[in-house]
This record gives sequence, structure tokens and C-alpha cells, in this order.
Amino acid sequence: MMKHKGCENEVRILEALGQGVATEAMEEPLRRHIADCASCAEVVSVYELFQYDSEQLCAAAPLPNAGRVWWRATLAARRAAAERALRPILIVEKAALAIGSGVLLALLVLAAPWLAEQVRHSNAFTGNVVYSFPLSSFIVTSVVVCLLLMAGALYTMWAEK
Amino acid sequence: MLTRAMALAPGESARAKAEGKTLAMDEESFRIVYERTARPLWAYLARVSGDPALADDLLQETYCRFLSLSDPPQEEAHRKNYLFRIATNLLRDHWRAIQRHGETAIETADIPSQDHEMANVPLRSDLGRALAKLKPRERQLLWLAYAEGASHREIAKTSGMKEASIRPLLFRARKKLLALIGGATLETEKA
Repeated sequence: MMKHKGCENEVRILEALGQGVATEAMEEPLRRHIADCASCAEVVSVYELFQYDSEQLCAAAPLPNAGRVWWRATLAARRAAAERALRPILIVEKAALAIGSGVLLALLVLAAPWLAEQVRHSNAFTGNVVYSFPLSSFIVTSVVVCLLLMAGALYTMWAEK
Repeated sequence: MLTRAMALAPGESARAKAEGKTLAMDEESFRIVYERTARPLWAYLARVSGDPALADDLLQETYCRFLSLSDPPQEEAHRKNYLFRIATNLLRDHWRAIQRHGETAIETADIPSQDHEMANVPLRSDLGRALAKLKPRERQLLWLAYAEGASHREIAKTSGMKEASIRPLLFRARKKLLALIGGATLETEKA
């Protein structure tokens, strides 16, 4: 009955061994089969070898103290709680950045024709502009201030990361 | 870096106790679970990774993740399987991180070293040497089946493989292991 998967009884034998049933305590037909089947005998030998090795390893295992593992878990829980608490602030920060960017972009689009006009008539800046277009000047100043604030905010976020 | 004999300061201990309420169980229950499950879990991690120091780190991380579960399994066998599954995932993450970046995935900066104790661990048995030559997945399968006595279904759940593929993979892994070990060694090691 040996195939590339081994003998069909291997699973039964392994399950019995896994449940703590010794070879000698197995049912008579299964015991007889182990004696006749090379593959199943191999399974028992390998099982015993691993059990022996596992016992040796378990006995010598330099386990970390349970208190230390507990302490580490509380630290991790504390860190996770802090992250959870900061999450809304981060969301608000990102939302503010997105809204600010949108507003800035809208302002730039709205002010673009006026800016192009000013560039075309650059001499207008020297004299009358301040008196002729006080609102536009105010918009330009606001845009510049916004840009500077955004650069500052971006730098602060980058520095924190 | 902490020392191995580090104990919690009184204030820290009180705070840890208070924060313990956010974890899956209280400290005493955890100690009991730990005493029952840590040794076989450590042996599994040590044999499959081949590195006792890594096994130590992964063991701690396994329990940290287990404690962070909102509803950890109460039944003992289920709990054990769950711990082995977490450990297996951590091992997989570790190997992936090494493949990607050549570095470990687990933060080890705050973990005390136990190198002096590792010297006494019998990792270099014939079985250990032979296992080290197998693929990580083969080591996992063999250990779960033969050392832990896990059924194919349990192995499939732990390793994330299909149940039907466990049997042929296990068979091939066993044959490879025996070819590496040799029949004679098998008998002497058992004796």
C-alpha cells in the first residue's frame, strides 16, 4: 500500500501517537501492521526521535520570565493605546492639510487671471496698483502667507516623522 | 537595554497592573498559561528557526500578540493551536523581512540577551543538524506532526496550507530528513 504519500495507515498511527497512545497500547491489527509495514515503522521511529528531542529541548529551554513577558505586553498595550488616542488628531491634521491645499489651489486658480494681468503690466505695481486693487493685493499677500504656513506645517510633520 | 534580572519598579509595577486590565487576561492567569505552553512553543521556534535567540524574541512577541487579543481562546487545546499559529506567522514574517531587507522584523532593542544560557541548549543534535538542512516549511511540518503530535487538520490551520497537501508534503519531508540523518543515527540517538 506504499505510495508517494506513504502508507494509508500512517495518519491513524500518527493520530494515536499524538493522543498519547503508545505503540504497545494500540489495537492489535494496527500493532501487527506496524510490525509488517516499513513506512509505518518509520513513522513510529521518527515520532519517537522527535519526542526525545522535544523533551531535551523543553527541559533545557532558557525561557524568559513570565513577568518580563507580561511587562513587555503591557508596554505594547500602552503604545497601542497611545497610537489609538493620536489617530483622530492625525486624521484632523491630514484633513486640515487637504482642505488647506484645496483652498490654496482654488485661490491660485481664481487669482491667476489677475496675476497674469499684473505681470503683463508690471509697471502697474509701482504706483496705482495698491490704490486701484487693494482687494487683489490682499489676496496675493494671503496666498503668500498661506504658502509659507503650509511649508512650515509640512516641515513640522516631516520633522516629527 | 535591560538586564536579565530586571524587576519592575514599584510605581511601574502598579501602572503595569492597572494597564493589565486592557490585556486579554490578568497576570496570574497569564502566568499559568505561560507555564503550560511556553516550553513546547520555544522548542518549536528554536528548532524551526535554528536560532535560540530568535526563538526567545519570537516567543515573547507571540505572547504579546496573544495578550492583545480581545477574545483569546479559553479551551486549552484551542489556545495552544492559536499560540502555534501566531508563532508560525511571526516566523514567516521574519523570513520575509530577511528576504526583503536583510533585517529582522521584530524589535529587539528592549529585549535582554540570554546568550550565556543558550550555550546549554541541545540544538546541535543530529536531528537538529539534519533539520537545519531542510526548508523552513518542512521543518514546521515535521515538528508539528512528530513533536507536537498535531493532526493534519491542525497543521493545516497552523501553517495556512491546505489539509490535503499536508500528507504528501509531510511524507517527502520525512524521507528527506531520514536521508540526511541516516538509519543508524536514528537508532543511536534514540538509545
